[in-house]
Amino acid sequence: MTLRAGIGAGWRAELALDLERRPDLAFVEVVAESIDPARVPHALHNLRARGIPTVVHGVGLSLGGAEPPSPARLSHLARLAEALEAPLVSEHVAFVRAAGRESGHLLPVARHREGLACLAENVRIAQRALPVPLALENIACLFEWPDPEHTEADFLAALLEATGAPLLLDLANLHANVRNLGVDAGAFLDRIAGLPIAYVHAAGGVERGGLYHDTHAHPLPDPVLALVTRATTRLGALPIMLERDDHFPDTAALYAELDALGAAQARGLGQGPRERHAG
Amino acid sequence: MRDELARQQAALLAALEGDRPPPPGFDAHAVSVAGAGLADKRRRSAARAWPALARALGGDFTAAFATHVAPTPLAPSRGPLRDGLRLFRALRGDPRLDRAACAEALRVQLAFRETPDGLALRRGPALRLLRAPGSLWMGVRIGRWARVVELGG
Repeated sequence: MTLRAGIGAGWRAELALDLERRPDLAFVEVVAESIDPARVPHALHNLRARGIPTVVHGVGLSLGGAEPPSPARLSHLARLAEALEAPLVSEHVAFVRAAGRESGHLLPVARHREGLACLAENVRIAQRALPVPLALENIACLFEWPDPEHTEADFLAALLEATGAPLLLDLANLHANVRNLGVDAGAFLDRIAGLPIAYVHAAGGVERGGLYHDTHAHPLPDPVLALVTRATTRLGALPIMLERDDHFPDTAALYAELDALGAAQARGLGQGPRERHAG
Repeated sequence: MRDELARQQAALLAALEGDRPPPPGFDAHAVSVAGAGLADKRRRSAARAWPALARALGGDFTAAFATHVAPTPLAPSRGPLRDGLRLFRALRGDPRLDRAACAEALRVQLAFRETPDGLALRRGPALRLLRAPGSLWMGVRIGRWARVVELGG
């Protein structure tokens, strides 16, 4: 099974029934650290039986960290990918631990030559341990390391070119960085346009205290949906999924979110009412 | 090369945890907001992993978490689950821990065992007892089947 262009969702136990009943679900993604390969929930077996692929998404590998990825964590990802017949594993361009302390959150890497070399080497170690391709996700952050040598898009492009890994394009994270760090969305999309893109994340967030917080706990805001349209226009039809981790919506609200994603994608393909883009 | 990266990342993490100011060149306000966000996320993740405990403590959850859990390191393996267990144990005997919270704690202990890294899934069957003020609980788990029972109280 490979991923087809269309609308998918992050699988959470709280949403299992709603996702099982959703017609036209293109794919799901599971958080690797929450599933035991020996005790896969029946709901995931059911999805696979219906031909809906599952992607394995890790959050704890810390590819951007100074240490090489842990063999135990890589083994878990590999076993889970096999148990779910996943076409893909994905992780983040980030670190989550340092000096033996866990951060509990994805932290940005410094965009300089040493950081890029270390990251590329960690990615290659991970690729050798996994039975399927490894996609790399761009993250959101409220701050950057000082004196970067590359823009975020250039850094990602250099990493993907060095490793052959595809991109997991997170448009909610891109929006957060547009709002908080002044990233140019158009330039970003142009820079990554020629690279292999495995799939796309979209999620909700909220403005608070003059900053945009990518919470995964709120409905998709209009600017993120607009980015979905813009990215689709620029990059073509892609597998796009909704990420929701908290304050779970009821069935109607969840389906409305998935519908909104589908509509935003359709507009990008010229299949709906035209949107005026900011250029 | 990796050593220098490790040193830099450790310094940033320490700043986010509020142990020291950020290294030169960082946006101090943004780092501060991000650090507060990390603390909030840790607490919310524990509350999500322990919904009965969160309901039992209600508005007291935040302060209790800040007192008993936040000063301790986050576990690499199942951190939120480990955090809730630490909080439950710290409040042992507290009258706010209702029957639902006790049953929840017992279910977690039936399903997971403690390791130096945090919590790991138990492989074999498990039988556990839990003493609460005025009651004794027993839990049994075999494979996916588990049952907790209040024996007295």
